[in-house]
Amino acid sequence: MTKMRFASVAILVCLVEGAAAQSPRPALSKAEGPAILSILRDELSRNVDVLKQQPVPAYYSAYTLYDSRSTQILASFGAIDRSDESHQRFATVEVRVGDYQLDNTHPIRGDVRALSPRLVQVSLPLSDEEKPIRLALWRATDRGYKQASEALTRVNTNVAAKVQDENPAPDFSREEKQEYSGNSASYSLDKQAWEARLRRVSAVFSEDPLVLRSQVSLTVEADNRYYVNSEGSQIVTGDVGGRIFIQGVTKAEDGMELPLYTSYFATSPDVLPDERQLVAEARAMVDLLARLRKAPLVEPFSGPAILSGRAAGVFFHEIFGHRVEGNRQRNADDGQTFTSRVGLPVLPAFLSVTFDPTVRKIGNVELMGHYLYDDQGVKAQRVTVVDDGVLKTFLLDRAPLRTFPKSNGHGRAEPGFLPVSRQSNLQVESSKTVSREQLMDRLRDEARRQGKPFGLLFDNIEGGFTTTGRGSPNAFNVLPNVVYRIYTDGRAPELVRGVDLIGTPLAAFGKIIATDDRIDVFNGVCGAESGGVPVSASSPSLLVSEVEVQKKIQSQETRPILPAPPAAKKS
Amino acid sequence: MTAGRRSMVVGPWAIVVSTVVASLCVDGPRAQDSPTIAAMQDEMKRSMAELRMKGAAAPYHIAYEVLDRTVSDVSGRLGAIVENPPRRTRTLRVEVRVGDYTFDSSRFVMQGFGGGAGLSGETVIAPLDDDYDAMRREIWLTTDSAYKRAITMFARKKAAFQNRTASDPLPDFSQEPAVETVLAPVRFQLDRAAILARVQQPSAVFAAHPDIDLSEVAIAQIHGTRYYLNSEGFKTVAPIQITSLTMYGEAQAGDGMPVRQTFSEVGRTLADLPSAADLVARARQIAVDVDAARAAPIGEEFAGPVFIEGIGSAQFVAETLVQMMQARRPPDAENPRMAQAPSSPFLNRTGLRVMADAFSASDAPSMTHFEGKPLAGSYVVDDEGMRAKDVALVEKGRLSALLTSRVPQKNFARSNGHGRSNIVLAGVFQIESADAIASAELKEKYIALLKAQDKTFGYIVRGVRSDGQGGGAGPGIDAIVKITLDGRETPVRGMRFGAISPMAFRDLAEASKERTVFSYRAGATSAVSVIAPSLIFEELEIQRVRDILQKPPVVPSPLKQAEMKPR
Repeated sequence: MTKMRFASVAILVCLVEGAAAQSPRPALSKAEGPAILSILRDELSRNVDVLKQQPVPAYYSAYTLYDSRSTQILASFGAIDRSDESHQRFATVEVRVGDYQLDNTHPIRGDVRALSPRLVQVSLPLSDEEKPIRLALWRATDRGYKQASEALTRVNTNVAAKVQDENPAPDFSREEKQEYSGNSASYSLDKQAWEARLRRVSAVFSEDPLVLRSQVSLTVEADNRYYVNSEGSQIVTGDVGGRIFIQGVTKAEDGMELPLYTSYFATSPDVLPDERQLVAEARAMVDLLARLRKAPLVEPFSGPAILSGRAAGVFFHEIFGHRVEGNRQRNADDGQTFTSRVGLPVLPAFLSVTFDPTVRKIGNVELMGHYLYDDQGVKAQRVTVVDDGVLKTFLLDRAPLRTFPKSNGHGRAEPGFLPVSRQSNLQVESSKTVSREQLMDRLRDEARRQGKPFGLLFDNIEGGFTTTGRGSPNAFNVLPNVVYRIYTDGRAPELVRGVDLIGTPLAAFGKIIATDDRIDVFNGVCGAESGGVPVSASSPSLLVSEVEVQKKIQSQETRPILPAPPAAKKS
Repeated sequence: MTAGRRSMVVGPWAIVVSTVVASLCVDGPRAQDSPTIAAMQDEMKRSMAELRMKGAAAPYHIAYEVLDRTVSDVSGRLGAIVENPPRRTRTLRVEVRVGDYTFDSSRFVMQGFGGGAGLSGETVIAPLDDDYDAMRREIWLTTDSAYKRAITMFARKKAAFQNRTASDPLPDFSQEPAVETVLAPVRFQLDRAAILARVQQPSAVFAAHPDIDLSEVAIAQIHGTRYYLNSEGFKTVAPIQITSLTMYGEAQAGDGMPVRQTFSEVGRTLADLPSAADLVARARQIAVDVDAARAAPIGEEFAGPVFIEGIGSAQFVAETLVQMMQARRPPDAENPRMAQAPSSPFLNRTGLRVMADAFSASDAPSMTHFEGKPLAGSYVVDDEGMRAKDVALVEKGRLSALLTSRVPQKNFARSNGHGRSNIVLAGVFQIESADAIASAELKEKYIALLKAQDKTFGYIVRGVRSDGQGGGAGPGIDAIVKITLDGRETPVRGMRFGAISPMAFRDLAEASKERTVFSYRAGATSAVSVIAPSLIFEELEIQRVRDILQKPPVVPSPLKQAEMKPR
């Protein structure tokens, strides 16, 4: 039960830091590659040569070495809270025993507490010294082999004991070997200048004593990944990702916590927004927090709404994206909302949905879900999952489905986790667009038609989560934090607070009536069974004929008893 | 040894002769200048005067602690380096109490609030900048939530207690006269080259031992300042400075059993650690010992006289007697079934025999050196602002005191300055015997004792591990030899102590004059030093370890492959 819940809850949280993305650099395309790569290759083949001769033979193994350098600076209310740099290296080792058809990763039926397949992770010294690296890899490979052979014994017992599919999909797909050698990634940063900048930006929040918490942070990371597998693939990629987060939290008089977030992402710290833009953003946030504090509480409501592009992106990521991940079609314990609907309409005919990790940018916005090779060494590719409303395929890793025997480059994981099929850059495309103004008019029309005094506009969103398991209600929850009532009688839009958008997935899709023509992007980190992976979701604004909202669960803690202490600086 | 004997005089402050006292000044001007202290003082004053929720009690006690720490660590594996650059953090801990000294909101585990959330107050990240406004703002908000939690805790604690009849009601907090302790800050200079030398060369030693499949030499340094202030007028500004080293080598015996040898040292600065050359020699010894232990047979289980020698004895005392002397009173629980037993088995044994007659034990935090060697466990002021007191714990085998914090204990109502790391910790703990004999004579005495008990063999333990005492067993053993009556020693492996009874120390037969010090880190900013002679116990149990063993690796170690070429 616990495992099922864990495996099926997926969260898109825009709060998670440490985003990685890929830097657009041409391939070196040198088969030999850096020295570290040949250390990995040599130790891998030395181990596999012996392990494939064993009574329980290893048929596949992969080593991934992650070398990551990062800088993180956090500031609150004009002072630095943390300013750290780190450099770490570790490797993961995957060993598979059995064969492509049936191996140690085969799902165990009827036992929700069964151990999931694992990788072995080892930390490594920071220099390319052969002895300590090979010693660590060897120990990890031995552990991985032993874990895998124990798991295969459990699989074989389970297969013998339980009713099985007559014609099950293989456990591991056969893929072409890949060779790629990108440039190594690095960055330079004027730390003191950034500290000073973040102090000034974060100081904006001290102007309002009712902003109880706030933080402005910069995280820059250079990730170099070295991948080899026993099928002959070797891939070197290097990516730089820089993120700025601005966060402010206030409390309404009744104790309700009201958070706002903004983030920026770029593949180089140099192209992140400048100080003027950040200060302006902080000011706007302080202003919006003050308005939110005074905004009326939402009442339970069911009626038409517009989801802005960012909100719609998260909506699709949660209610649609997670349900087209291939591994959820394999697992008998999963809800399998779409498993048998390939070739059938699942969305309105004017909508298509693609996942395209090869896209780096939409307009000026760089996308966090971009990569060149996935974490199983498969080349990234554009996948049209829904074409004109009709479901075409799923997001696939190397655990194939009966009808889809190959990966489409979506086997992804946070470093250290076992890759499974995950989302990349989700794009909602519409063939039935109107202007923003027209969409607002259609919202009012729809409200009138339903006899409602207003419709809702979901302008911004902090994230969401969804459950796809069979053991829990198959539902979603996105967390809007900026919501307006759009009145039919011409009154100005009214900000409301405390809104939870709820519902069940299939019902929600059918109610999308129209979209506008402006694409907006949500960059975030999606957390699920293979850890946090950077993703994006972009969409035009959507008009939905009916949404259901409820009041948010409220914090019981009141505002601070004493007023904010007098500031020394001002006096 | 006489030097050791003299240091057993335990008058308060009688033997504090270090530079620490010289720098001990009350209310130093530096502190007044610090925006951190100023923010703490101002918000403390305002909170005590004005913080009050309608219908609830005002706080009767508030304490603030700011820990400003910089941590760095460097480790070496087969000569290659893993290095974490220094990371500086400041944390703020706020403790608010409502009620009064006899019964207050502290020491209470509420059901459904996790394992003791809020027991030591609220801890948050505080600004690194010396920024009065930012610090004071953080203190304001954290005090507010600590106060709100204290009110809830107090109400629920009162409710839980209204129908309980307490057999022995004890106050929750001891009343102590306020102390100000402002110590000079320490200068810290990260000496990267000196660290690398101590890590790189020793760790490279293991590359020549292909059977050792896991090894590391690591140095961790932590330095900074502790600021403590409470509403009773206590004030502390004290440096934090710990440098620790660990070195280990591990191999698998032919049957898959892991064998491991370790060496560790804790001091204040890098200069307190052995030199690079010494460490290379240590690493060589560890490598040789691991190779020997690999080849050694598994020992036989045994109950009878046991000889614990050298550092092994100090390690053994640290794992057993020291824990029993730290009087930690567990919190009261809302759910009576969650109530924990007190940690010390000696609370009711004052005046009674807990060690053999010739033995005494004490804790002397004022002792800064032992035989010329600096002691990491020495300290001046504890984490509750109390001056550390030197305490005679056992005299002529009789228990006279336990180590205490400001949480009153049965028979021990006041603190003796051992409230460290939010619990009770020893500082410089030592034991010795009035009838001690020369080390060289102990082996003979031991064999005589074995003969008297009709044993055909015994055990000498030379290294004790601190790996949990779960399953009713005693400490683990890193180095042990079997000794036959002819004096011949053969190394064995795979042994650990059986459970150590609190009464075991009453059966101490012999102790050496020579004593050895063992220091270890305890809590985030504290260290403990233990000084003990080699000991012969009349009866202890030595058991086999019951770990599940992994088969040896399928593929041979890469260190054994001839074809590995230098790059």
